[in-house]
Amino acid sequence: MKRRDFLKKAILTPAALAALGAGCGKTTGRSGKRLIVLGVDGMDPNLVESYMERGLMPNTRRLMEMGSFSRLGTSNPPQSPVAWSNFITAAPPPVHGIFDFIHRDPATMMPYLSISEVSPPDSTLNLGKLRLPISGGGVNLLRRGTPFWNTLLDKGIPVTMVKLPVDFPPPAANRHGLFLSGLGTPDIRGSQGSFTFFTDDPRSVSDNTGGGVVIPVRDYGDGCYTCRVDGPANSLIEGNPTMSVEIKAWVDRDSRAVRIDMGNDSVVIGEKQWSPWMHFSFPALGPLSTVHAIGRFYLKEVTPKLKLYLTPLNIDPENPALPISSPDWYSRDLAEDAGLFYTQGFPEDTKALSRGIFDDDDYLSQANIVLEERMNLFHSVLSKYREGLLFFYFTSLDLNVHMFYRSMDPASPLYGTTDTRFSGVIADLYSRIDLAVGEAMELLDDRTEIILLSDHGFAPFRRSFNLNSFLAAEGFADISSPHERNSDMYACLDWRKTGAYGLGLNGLYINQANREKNGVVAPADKRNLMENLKSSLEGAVDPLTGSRPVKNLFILEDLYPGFEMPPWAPDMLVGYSHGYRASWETTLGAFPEEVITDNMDPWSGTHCISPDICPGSLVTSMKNLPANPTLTEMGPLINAILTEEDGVS
Amino acid sequence: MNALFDLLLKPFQSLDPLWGLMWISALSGIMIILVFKKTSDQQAISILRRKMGSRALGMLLFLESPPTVLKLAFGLITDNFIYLWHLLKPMLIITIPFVIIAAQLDARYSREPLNTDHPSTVTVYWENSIPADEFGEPEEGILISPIVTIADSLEQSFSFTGSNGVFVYNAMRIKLGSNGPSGSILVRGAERSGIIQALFHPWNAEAEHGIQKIHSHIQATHYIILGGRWGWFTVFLVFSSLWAILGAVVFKVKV
Repeated sequence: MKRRDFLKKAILTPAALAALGAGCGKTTGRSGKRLIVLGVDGMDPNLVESYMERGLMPNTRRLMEMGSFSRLGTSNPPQSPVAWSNFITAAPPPVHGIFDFIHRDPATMMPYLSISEVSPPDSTLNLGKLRLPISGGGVNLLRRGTPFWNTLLDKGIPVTMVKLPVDFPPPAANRHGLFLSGLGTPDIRGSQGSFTFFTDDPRSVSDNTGGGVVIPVRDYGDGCYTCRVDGPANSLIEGNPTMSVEIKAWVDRDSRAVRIDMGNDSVVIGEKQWSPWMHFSFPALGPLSTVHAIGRFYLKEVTPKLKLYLTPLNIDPENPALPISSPDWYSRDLAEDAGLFYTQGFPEDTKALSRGIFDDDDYLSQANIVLEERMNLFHSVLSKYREGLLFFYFTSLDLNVHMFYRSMDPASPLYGTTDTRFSGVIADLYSRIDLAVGEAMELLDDRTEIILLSDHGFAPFRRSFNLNSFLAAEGFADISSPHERNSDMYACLDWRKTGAYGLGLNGLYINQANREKNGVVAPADKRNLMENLKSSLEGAVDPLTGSRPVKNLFILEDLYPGFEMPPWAPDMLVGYSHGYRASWETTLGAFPEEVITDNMDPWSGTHCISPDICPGSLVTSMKNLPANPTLTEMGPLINAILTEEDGVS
Repeated sequence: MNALFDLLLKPFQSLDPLWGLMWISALSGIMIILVFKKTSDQQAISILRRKMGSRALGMLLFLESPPTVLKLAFGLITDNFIYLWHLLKPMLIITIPFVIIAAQLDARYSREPLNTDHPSTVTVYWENSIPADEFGEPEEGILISPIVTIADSLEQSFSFTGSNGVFVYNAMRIKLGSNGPSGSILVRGAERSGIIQALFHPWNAEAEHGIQKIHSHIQATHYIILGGRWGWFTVFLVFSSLWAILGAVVFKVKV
């Protein structure tokens, strides 16, 4: 039972009257306009048109016929953190400060995630090995600017934002606002999702398993594997040791099943089955401070080798170790109503698929769980929605299209090796999102509108462009240690002879004197160098296909004239052509031998390209929307819809 | 006893578990205070309370006279023991229904019902050997996991869960073996769709011959009240106490 239900029913129960008082007056009771915004990450307008044509998205088609459909101008670069920040602040990157998934600190040249940061306490009280924080420290949202919904909150209009991207940690509690963080929310270890894989298969252990950890385990003859699950670092103890819990996995090779014992909890799962969410408790300071997390096991194989996968340990929405909702009880209410759910920002484990821990079937079974949970959340949120703004975010399209674009792209290097069983995966996903649209449309009336929008579209990722290798080949960067070309963070570079370097998915930086740690390019020479880079990159040709991998090289000061750029901003943005994208090696500063290679990663769809190639989608129940709308215009539009005739001061 | 409580609690089964529990707590509180009234010496308690009040007042009035205060304090302590003695009989009598009610409520309101999100896990410890044949077919509407056999410790474990969101059953019997050692597990339950009504008797697992013991793990439930997570016992204790106090006022019970 939810608190609101309790409060309503409490009025009828004399006994509960004594418990009343604290929670009264939560609902405003006003009648007002309603606007449901469905944010579907990566919904491509071309695919929407195609699927509507094929009758796979009847509700979306009905919505379009009722109102309008258009392409929605995306951000530059068209990356989700940048695009959703444009949406949230109704402003471009120089205002909100998010230019890429990854930024770098020019003083240290160390990369960091652009969305949020965890800062240690400023001062601690040291008692033996104990380090008790006294002041400072915490989680900070790095997105700047003012969210558009502040206008609504100021007017007393209710705002509910569920799984909102680039909003971790959530804003301060407001009596009219409910917020649940989405994209950017880390797992309990502080990463964007780090799985654990227990196995006694030496081949798995030796694999490259970035994105997770592989733990070798052993059966000593009794069928029992003792597995250690690592949690977060314990910042209350000197040296920040990792907290961990032990589980025992008892295998039965005849029935191809395993019993997992953890504390007093126990569950039996068979091969290819998922456990329910299990609760993990990591005592940080004995019983005084415990970090709670949730995880699900997946038994990939029992025999001949044990292969037991554990999802990234998610922040428990019922006992969040870090703030994931505002007010803090909101995540608990949702979990009570809709069941436990993935709280991490990137719930689909694409890394497990890319690294071969999952096969396509394993991955899809996990992705289905994510989508089902999201739908449950949606049902729950929609059933309680009364007025004001409701924003609900779906991530499944984006991550699954990333992984299965190859199934519908005959030109993909992996098309031939992808089972034809998966050729309908993307169409099925669009159909399932369409069901959510239909559910929202049931609420349509004369005071309710619906906006279905996406942050960007999609394109194939067939060829990987090693930007840094290109810069080295063209003389913009100098490699002094060739044997370290494949090492991250420019290990092979001679910075004294390097004029530019690539980092992140679209960022290109000038090695500027007095800004970069080892900067050599004088500010006076910067413009000339950028012009040279532009002509060089835009003129590059893929020797295999004859195409130009780079469609546009955007110089930021030309793109956003009059804005002062923060020091972490890139100097240029690489707008890749259809079919191309920065290689994974480029994103972290490596320099492979070849400049352009086939993309052999299941991550086969992309949107980190030139923004004109992958606009988002906009379907609304309203006609007469502005021509050529963009994401940055959506916030003011939403405010205008909800404040018009609201009559609330 | 189970059948009796099934009958007694029938009116509350149709309620949401929290409200059922609160009303049961309220009635229990009233019942307890009435039993207390019947079984205690109300007149003696009344006299004693007045006497204790006067001694306390006397201590305040004669603060400047330590011997008098000491004498009154000694008298107050003695009265306290006498008061406890008066309470002993009714408390002993109340303890019996209280324990029975608590045990019944624990079985009915402390666990999550079977649902697809939270499988329940049962481990059977056999006495001498594990039966050769498999478990019997579970009733319709129940999904059962493969059975994990740990031969060294004569254990067999399985998890079971509702096969869909709506899971209504009165009793489920899972047969364990048929040749040599055999037995069965009986789990009783009653659940309405979407409601945490768990009439689930974990200790109703019936160990038959050949089975040393059975351990079942069924997820504990909690109730959300004013944003807090309350265990069933806290709900029961708080609301039965509130109603007992209210009852004491209404029925003029001297406690």
